[in-house]
Amino acid sequence: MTILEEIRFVKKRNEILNTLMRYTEKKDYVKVESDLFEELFDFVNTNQRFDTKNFIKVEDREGNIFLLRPDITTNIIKQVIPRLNPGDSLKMYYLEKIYAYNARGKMKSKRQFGVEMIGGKSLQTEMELLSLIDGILDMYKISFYIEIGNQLFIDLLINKLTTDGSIKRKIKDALFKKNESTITALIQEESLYKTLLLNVLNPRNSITDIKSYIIENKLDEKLLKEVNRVIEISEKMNQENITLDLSLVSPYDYYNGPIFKGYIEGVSQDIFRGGRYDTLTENFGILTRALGFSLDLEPLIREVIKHDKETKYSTT
Amino acid sequence: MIKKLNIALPKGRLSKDVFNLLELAGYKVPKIENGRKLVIDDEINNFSYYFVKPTDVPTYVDRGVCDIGINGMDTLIESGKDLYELLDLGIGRCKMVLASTSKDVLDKQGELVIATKFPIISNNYFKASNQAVSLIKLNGSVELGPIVNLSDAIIDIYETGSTLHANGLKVIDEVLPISSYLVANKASYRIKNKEINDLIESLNEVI
Repeated sequence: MTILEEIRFVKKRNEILNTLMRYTEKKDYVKVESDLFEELFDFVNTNQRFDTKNFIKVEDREGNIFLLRPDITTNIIKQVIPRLNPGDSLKMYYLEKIYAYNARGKMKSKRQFGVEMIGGKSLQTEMELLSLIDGILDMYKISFYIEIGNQLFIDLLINKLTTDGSIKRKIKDALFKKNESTITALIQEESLYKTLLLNVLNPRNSITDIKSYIIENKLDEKLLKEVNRVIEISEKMNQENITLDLSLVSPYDYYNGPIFKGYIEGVSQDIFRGGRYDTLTENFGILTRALGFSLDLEPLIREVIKHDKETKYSTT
Repeated sequence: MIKKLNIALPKGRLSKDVFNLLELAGYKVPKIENGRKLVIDDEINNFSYYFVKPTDVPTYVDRGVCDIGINGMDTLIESGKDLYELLDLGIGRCKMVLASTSKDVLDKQGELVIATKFPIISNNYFKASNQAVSLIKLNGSVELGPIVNLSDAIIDIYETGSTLHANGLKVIDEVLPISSYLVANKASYRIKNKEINDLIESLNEVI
């Protein structure tokens, strides 16, 4: 890319980001900034399944180890929650970079846009957040696919299968890869809950099949409640691009309710992801409702530019 | 509308088993003319097959060039790619073992030197132990390591055991069972869910 081409690209990128900020601010979200550094031990305690070797570490003069922020949610929540009064509601957004080593060991930054909603009613805030994502992508005429799961459902189910923390983590890792053979090998004892987990993993079982299995076998009602939460979201959204996948697991352990991931054609990774993380707020002082999402900006910008070019081509 | 599936298949020793399995499942891979063509279309099933080096299968799938691929668990772990491991195909079964000329190698005081082609799997294996370990990455003839005192032991694939025995090495421990998996790109799995699951269902009937 020549410097002039790069300047044109940067100009276009800034236009896109400005539109994105204006759109979000119109919806009453306030822009916030997060700390560049994250305490290593805080992060590891909250997210035990992460291999921290992929994160970039720095040391202060006292020898304390920090991470260059690998995630923004924990960082913002840590700043906001200790100063929150019970009953407060907040709608925040950010436009920041996160940092990590890539597969070849090079330090890389990734530009992210994201939203965090503190307080509010459960289903209502989920709907508001998903509508915001829908609105943003619709503004750029980008169609997307979204999958919705429930991390609390998975945690409750895994708790029924084992009390061993290391096995729990391994089951979650295997679910993250949808590796049925590993799960079968990890859970040796046959039980209705093991069958439920394997049913959840089988794509031929619909969420209604899962619900029926829980009811027919009189399994823990908490599981049923979490399945119903996901069904309710899907019914309210009523869109064809939604798939319900109860085997969905986030790499972040702080989620404790409905979670989601979004994809667009031509991009090989998820472009946005998020969910409910009420219990994370409790770690920083107050248990309150909280949810959010992050959207990767580079693929979004590429898609918008590609779409613009295609539109121009088709009209000339 | 049925979406086209791009499938990465490994060239080399696993390819015969993969072709047989696909044929059994009702998906005959078209013949490769003089073995040089790297992409072949199957217009009947709306597939494109990409024939790539086994170690490159995870990269093609991860980058979304291919939606799915077939790969040994050893190269999959070593690639570090974040893919769905949807189906254990039961082919290419073997195991990763720790082997040495001495049965007491794990009792060695001080640092244990391991020669291997699989540094990530080796690191994972020793992570839980208190043993101090130094890894030497080799690209082949790993069995030579303990013989020429380059290493105390090796971690390598064990199929028939003939190479180990021929070089006077004994299996000390099984590190990992290996088999080949059907892997998928996470975005493709969502966008081409029906096509991928139809293929899995057919394969599931014959494995």
